[in-house]
Amino acid sequence: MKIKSLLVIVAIFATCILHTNAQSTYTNPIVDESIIFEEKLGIVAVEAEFFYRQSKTDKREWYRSSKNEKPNAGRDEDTLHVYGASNNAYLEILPDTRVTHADPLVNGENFNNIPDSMPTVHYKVKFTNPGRYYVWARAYSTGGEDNGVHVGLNYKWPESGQRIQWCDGKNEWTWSSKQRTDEVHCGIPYAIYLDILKPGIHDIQFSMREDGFEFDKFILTKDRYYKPEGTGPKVVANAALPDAYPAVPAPKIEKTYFEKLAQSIPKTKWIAAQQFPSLGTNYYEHGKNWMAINPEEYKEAITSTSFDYESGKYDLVFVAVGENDGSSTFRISINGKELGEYSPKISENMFEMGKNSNALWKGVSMTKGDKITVWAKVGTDGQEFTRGRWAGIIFTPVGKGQKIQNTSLSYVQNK
Amino acid sequence: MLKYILVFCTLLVVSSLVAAPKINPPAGRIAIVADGNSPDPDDLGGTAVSLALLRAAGLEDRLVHYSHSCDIIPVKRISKSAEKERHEMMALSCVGTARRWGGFDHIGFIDAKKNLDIAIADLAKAINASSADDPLWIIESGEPDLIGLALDASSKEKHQFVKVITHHPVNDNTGEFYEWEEILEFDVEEVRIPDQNILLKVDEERWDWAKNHPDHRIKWVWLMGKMAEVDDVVQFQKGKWDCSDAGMVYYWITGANINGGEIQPAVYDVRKLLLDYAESKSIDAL
Repeated sequence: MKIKSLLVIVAIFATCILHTNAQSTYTNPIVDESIIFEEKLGIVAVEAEFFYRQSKTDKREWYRSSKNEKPNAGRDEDTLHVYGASNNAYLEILPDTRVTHADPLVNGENFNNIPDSMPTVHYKVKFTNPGRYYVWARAYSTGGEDNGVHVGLNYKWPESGQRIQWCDGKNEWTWSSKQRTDEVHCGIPYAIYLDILKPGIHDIQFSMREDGFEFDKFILTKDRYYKPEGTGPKVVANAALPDAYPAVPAPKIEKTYFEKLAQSIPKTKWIAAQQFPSLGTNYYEHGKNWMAINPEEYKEAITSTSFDYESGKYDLVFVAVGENDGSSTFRISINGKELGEYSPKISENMFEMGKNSNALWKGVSMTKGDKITVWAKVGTDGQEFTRGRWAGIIFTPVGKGQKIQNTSLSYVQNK
Repeated sequence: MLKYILVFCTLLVVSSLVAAPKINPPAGRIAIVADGNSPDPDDLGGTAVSLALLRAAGLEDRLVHYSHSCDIIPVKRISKSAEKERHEMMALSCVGTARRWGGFDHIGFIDAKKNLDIAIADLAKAINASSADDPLWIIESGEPDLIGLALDASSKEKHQFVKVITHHPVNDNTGEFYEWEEILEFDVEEVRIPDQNILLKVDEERWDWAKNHPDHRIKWVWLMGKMAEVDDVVQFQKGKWDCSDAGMVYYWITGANINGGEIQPAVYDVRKLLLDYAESKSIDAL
């Protein structure tokens, strides 16, 4: 073997070792058992990355992420979410092999409904005031298969600690204290708690329910009505904690077609479809931008909201979505009086947004507090149904509606 | 000229028809379970508007149960003295509206917390009187506990004829004794409409038409909503006139889920119904 080839092999081998070591540091604790978090006046807050050990790591592990720590532990389709995380760091259970509902569910591998054998992080907490502590945890969920975790106490897993669930606040750091049940998938409030029977040091544990779960911080509070905001209260411990992780700038977010359209002309106001209520309307929130109808359940839907902008005359642009399996029908009303009916043209692609899918009504008088109603009916090509998708309503100064209609913009479905 | 006058008159008739609320309730009776003693005082205005709407629609006889102050376990956000005041104010909103609008002599207004057994028995009696042709529509204007307790105390075979109208998950999920799922386990029908706060919790001045109305029945309704606005227990009612729970009553009056009722009524809908009635039934005729 030539010297050069040998050097290359040695270099590759060394890189692999270094890389493996670097990855393993992301799963090692950064505090030890001597760090005890302290409850003060019935509340305690702990950063997820301040676990003193993790256990049951055969198939998955909790990996720390921060500005300089980017885990590479198999499948992980989402990006880092350091911005907005408390202390600029968080944990994620990796690898993440169940990203969407279409991915196979493997019990005991990428899912674990009953906490027993999957990766668990441990924290020491000293309680002065025993009693019932409601558990709030802060997580970043991007879908429906990374939004659940279990909490336990002293190696026991009470029913009241199982299946903490996140439905609201997708794609942002969000607090939850709701328990998922078969009937209420989005969770029942006030059902997640731990009963601390004696004062002293207890072991608080979080265990995997779904891989890909991203965990930032937790709070235990005796106040049933407490709701954390932002990054929550300060962490209090018996000794000095590690320095804060370096901050990262806010990620650049590409605007959607609707947002670009609405912001293309000054003094333009808008109401996005998802600012209208969906519960009890036959609509559902489709992704982050659209309202839509599931044609297997309903053929029509209706929703209303209030016009809370300055009274006056506006050109009104209704932004619908063209679909290739038919043409949906929309009716827009102001205070019960119909502006008109509109059907976007059948599109070539599965979805299309643009001039062909927008309606324009010129010089519409609007008064603050007016009721705006959007009725939709699914269309069909005789074989399949559309979903009555729409993105929102734009209120632009009179005379500017046509310009908005003609704006040429690229289309982005979801942020 | 005559042609133009005819066209104008036709347009006028058509536009008035479009704006007129359609009274088209489903078969059955209605029961209302409100709180008002819990931190949010919006049930004061909600109660006055609900009763006035039923009377204006000529459906007062269909009301078979009205209980208020159904938040059975007090919360610490409200003081004992404020809680006491709320019970009195909710009773006042009930009997005061009933006396002024008339038509409610056939029922008593029950303070559910003070007279829990009576409230349970009264609602259970209404449940037990239900049938396929005469179902009971329960308006959930507060916590679900009383509804659960009454369902538990009533005949199981009657539950299939009970429909619970709800508009807000906060109401559903604040029970101390019953979670919403437990209410549904009684096999009652869940009739869910969107959050009524969106269009019925509005800036105070949007109710100035009632504040300044010469008819004391209308003015009384405004006063009840104003009482909630001046209440000092919570801050989120400040500057707002709120009758959100009455949106469920409007939905029922206009058809509920049987006859395509209005799922998101606004102040102008409520105003139209109340003023049409007040103008057609002068106080002297009562």
